[in-house]
Amino acid sequence: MFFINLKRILKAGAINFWRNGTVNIATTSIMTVTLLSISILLVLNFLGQKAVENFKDKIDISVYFNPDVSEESIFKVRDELAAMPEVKSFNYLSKDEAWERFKAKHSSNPVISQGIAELDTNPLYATLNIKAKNIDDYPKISDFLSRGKYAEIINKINFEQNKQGIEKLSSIVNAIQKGGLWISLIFAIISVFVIFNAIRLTMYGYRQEVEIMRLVGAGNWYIRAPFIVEGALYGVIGSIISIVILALFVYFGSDIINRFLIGDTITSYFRQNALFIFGVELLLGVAIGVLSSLFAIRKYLKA
Amino acid sequence: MIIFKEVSKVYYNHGSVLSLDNINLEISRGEFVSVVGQSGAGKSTLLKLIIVEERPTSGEIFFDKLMLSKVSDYYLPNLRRNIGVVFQDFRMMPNKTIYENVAFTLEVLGRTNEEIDRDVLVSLDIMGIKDKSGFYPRQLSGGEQQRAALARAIVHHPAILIADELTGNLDLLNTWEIIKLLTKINEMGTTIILATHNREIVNSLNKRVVTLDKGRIAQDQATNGKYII
Ligand SMILES: Nc1ncnc2c1ncn2[C@@H]1O[C@H](COP(=O)(O)OP(=O)(O)OP(=O)(O)O)[C@@H](O)[C@H]1O
Ligand SMILES: [Mg+2]
Repeated sequence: MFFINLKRILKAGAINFWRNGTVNIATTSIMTVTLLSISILLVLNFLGQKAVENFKDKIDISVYFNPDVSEESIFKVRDELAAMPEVKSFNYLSKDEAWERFKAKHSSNPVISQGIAELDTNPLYATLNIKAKNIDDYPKISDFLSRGKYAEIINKINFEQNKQGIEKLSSIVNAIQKGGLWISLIFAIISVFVIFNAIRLTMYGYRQEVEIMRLVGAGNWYIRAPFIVEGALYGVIGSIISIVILALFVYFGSDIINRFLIGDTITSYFRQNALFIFGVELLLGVAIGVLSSLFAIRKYLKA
Repeated sequence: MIIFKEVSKVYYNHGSVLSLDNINLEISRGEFVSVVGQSGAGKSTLLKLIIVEERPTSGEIFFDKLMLSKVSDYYLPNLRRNIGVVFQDFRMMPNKTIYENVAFTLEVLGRTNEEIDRDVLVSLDIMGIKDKSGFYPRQLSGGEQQRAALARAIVHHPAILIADELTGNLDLLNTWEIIKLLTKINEMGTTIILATHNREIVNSLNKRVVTLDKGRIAQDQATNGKYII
C-alpha cells in the first residue's frame, strides 16, 4: 500500500511538473543559477584554501646572527630550538656558505663581482631558517628568539612581512567566501519565492480537482504530496543542469584556473569532488524546492 | 445508519438563507430513500451535510456511531471512502480522463493497478461508456458525464450511495435503465439516497419518499411513497 501510494504520488508530482509548461523554464533556470552559485562557492573555497596552504608552506622565520657571533653560540640556539615541540625543521646557513652562494650567484655580473673582489671581509650574516609545525606557532618562536637570552646575538628576525602577507591573503579568501555566501543566500531566497509562485500556479490550475479529490475521500497528504514532489523536481533537475554547466566551466576554463594553482589542477579536483558537489547541490536544491512547496501548501491547501 | 437530530443549516453570504430548518430524519441500512421537493427546498444541502461538504449550523448528524460534528479533518477521508456520491454538477476532475476519474476513488483506497483496471472497466461497462474511458469530461455529453459520475460513485461498492439529480440529463430509456441498476445495487445491500425532481421515477419505485418544503420535512412516506408537491 505504501509503495503503491508512493509511486502514484511521484507520478502525480511529475505530471504537475510537466503541466506547468513554460513556467518551468523560468523556475528551473533560477534554481539552476542558485545551485550553480553555491557550487562555484564550493570551488572557490577550495581554490582559496589551496592558495593559503601554498603560501603557508613557504613561510618560515629567518634569523640573522650578528657577524661577531661564534658558530658555537649559534648551535646552542639551534639545539634549543630543536627541543621545542613547535619547530618542524630548520636549516642553518653559515656566514661562509652564504658568502660562497652569493658569489656563485652573481659571478656573471661584472659590477657585483668587482665589488666583491674589493671587499676583504665577509659582509653576510649566518642565518637560521626555521619552519614551524603550525602557522600559529611562529609568534611563539619569534618571541623566544627576540625576547629571550639570545636577543643580543641576533641581528634581525624576518617574519612580520610574511605574516602580513598571509593575513592579507586569508582576508581576501574570507571576503570571497562571505560574498559568495551572501550571493548564494540571495539566490536561494529568490528561488524559494519563484518556486512558491510556480507551485501556487499549479495549485490554482488544480483547485477544482483538489476539492473533488477531497470529496471522494483523498487524504490530506495524498493531495499535498504531489506538490512537494513537484518542488523537489525543480531541485533535482536544477542540480543536474548546474553540475553539467560547472563541468563545462572546468573543462574550458582549466587552462586559466590552473595558473593560480601550484601542483594541483582544477580538473583533478573537480573529478575527485564532482560527486560531492552534485550531492550538495541535490540536497540543497531539493530542500529549497520542498520548502517552497510547503510554504505554498500552508498558504493555499489548508484542509 | 444516518440520523439527523434537529438539524438546521443557514448559509451566510449575501444575507442569510435558512436552507434546512429543524430536520429530524432517520435512514436505516439498506433503505432506498427518495428526497423530493421544489427547487431550493434544501435537497442538495441535506446530501452535502452527510458527506460533510457542509456542516450544520445547529443540531447533530450521526453516521452509524459517528457524530459528524466531531469528525476530525484527519478522519474525514475515511468517512467519505464509505460513501459513493453523484453530484448534481457531476464534479468530474477536468484534467483527468474518465478512466482516471473513476480510478481515483480506488487509488485513494490503496488498490493495486490490476484491481483498479478490472473494477474501473467493469463499472464503465455497466454504465455503457467503456468506449469513452480515454475521453476528458468536457468531451462527453451531459448524459454520458452523468453516467461516468455514477460509475465513479459505485466502483468501490460503497456502503451508501448518494445521488443528487441523477437522471437530470438522461433520456427516458437511459433513466429507466439506471433506475433498474440502482434497484439492483440496493437489493445487494447498498443504502441509496436519491434527490430528484422526477415524478415518474419516484412513483414507480414504490419506496420511501421524503418531501422537503422550504427547508422543512413536509412529508415522510415510509413505504410506497408518491411524489406529492
Ligand atoms: N453555498 C451556498 N451559499 C448560499 N446559499 C446557498 C448555498 N447553497 C445553497 N444555498 C441556498 O440554500 C437553499 C437550498 O439549496 P439547495 O441546493 O439545497 O436546494 P435544492 O433542493 O437542491 O434545489 P435544486 O432542486 O434546484 O437542486 C437555496 O435557497 C439556495 O439558494
Ligand atoms: Mg440540488
